[in-house]
Amino acid sequence: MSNPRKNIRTLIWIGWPLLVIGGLLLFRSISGKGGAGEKLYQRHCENCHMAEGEGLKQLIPPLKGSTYFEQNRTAMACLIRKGISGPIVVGGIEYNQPMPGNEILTPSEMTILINFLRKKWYQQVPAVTFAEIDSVLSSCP
Amino acid sequence: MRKLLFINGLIWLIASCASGSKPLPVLGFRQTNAAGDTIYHTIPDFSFVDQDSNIVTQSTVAGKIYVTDFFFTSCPTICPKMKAQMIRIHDEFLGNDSIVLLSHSIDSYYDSVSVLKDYAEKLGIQTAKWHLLTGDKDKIWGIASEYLVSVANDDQEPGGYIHGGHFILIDPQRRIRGYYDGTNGAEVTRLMKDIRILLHEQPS
Repeated sequence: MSNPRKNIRTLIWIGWPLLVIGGLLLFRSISGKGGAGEKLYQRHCENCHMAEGEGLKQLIPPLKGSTYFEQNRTAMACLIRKGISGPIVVGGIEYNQPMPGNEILTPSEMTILINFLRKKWYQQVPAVTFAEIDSVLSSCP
Repeated sequence: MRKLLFINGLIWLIASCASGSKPLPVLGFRQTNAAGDTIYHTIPDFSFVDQDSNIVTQSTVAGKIYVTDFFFTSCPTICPKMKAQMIRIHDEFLGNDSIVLLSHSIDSYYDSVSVLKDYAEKLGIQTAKWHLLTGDKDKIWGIASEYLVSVANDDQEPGGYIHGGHFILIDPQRRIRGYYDGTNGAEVTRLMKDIRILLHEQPS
């Protein structure tokens, strides 16, 4: 009843879009675009620190190009967890807008997020591990 | 002859695309009066104070186009993004006195004039172009409903308030002409295009 040539043709028609989609997904996961880290950044950070980490004028400090990250590679986790208030100097400019703490992010999400920041703006800094972040988070000041 | 007609048609099409932006709709509730004219929803009179302690009322925006939104300075969610987008409009129309921006603070308790002043300075904005407004909480929240946007207290929400992220475009007759997502760059580009359409609109 079924025509084998027709079946193959159908298979090709269905198959190639799937291949293209699969390829795209693979590319995205390798390039880090649309990855878990970027999603966490968009959800928890981007509203204030903006898409390219540029911050907002003299109100919100930039993430890009600040030396804070290099000096506080793992301590970043506590900064994100507890937030900060009071003045902070970034790139020679004093900012004084409180940053709310984030109690929702799990240690593994925090690890993914910090590694996303590192990969995006601080490639010279070594990656953080889950064990490091988990231990830092358990003793935040 | 047919070819000529075709070229004619083509020229007409190009001309209409170049000049032709569609007029903006008038939004909000409308009524019909006894004479059969349509009465559009208009923003009522108001009186608030800006970052330089100026009283800002309907006279401040008389005969002008304005863009308005609701925010609060300690807002940890969408406000900074909205302000980054509002700065684009501020910079784009800085030299045009027919355009004004009004941002209402919904946190009357914390956002005093001096807090707004500090915020404005850090954003680097000019008061005459962009007024950051404070006033009685009831009056601010009341006018939000006239702009048909919602603001509310929410203890579950970071910052304690929730509000929509819309920019609202108001024409010189104080009618609502458009809503735009103030956190979205493409939407704000559309808003700036619509402001130019309004600028060329004859008063009706």
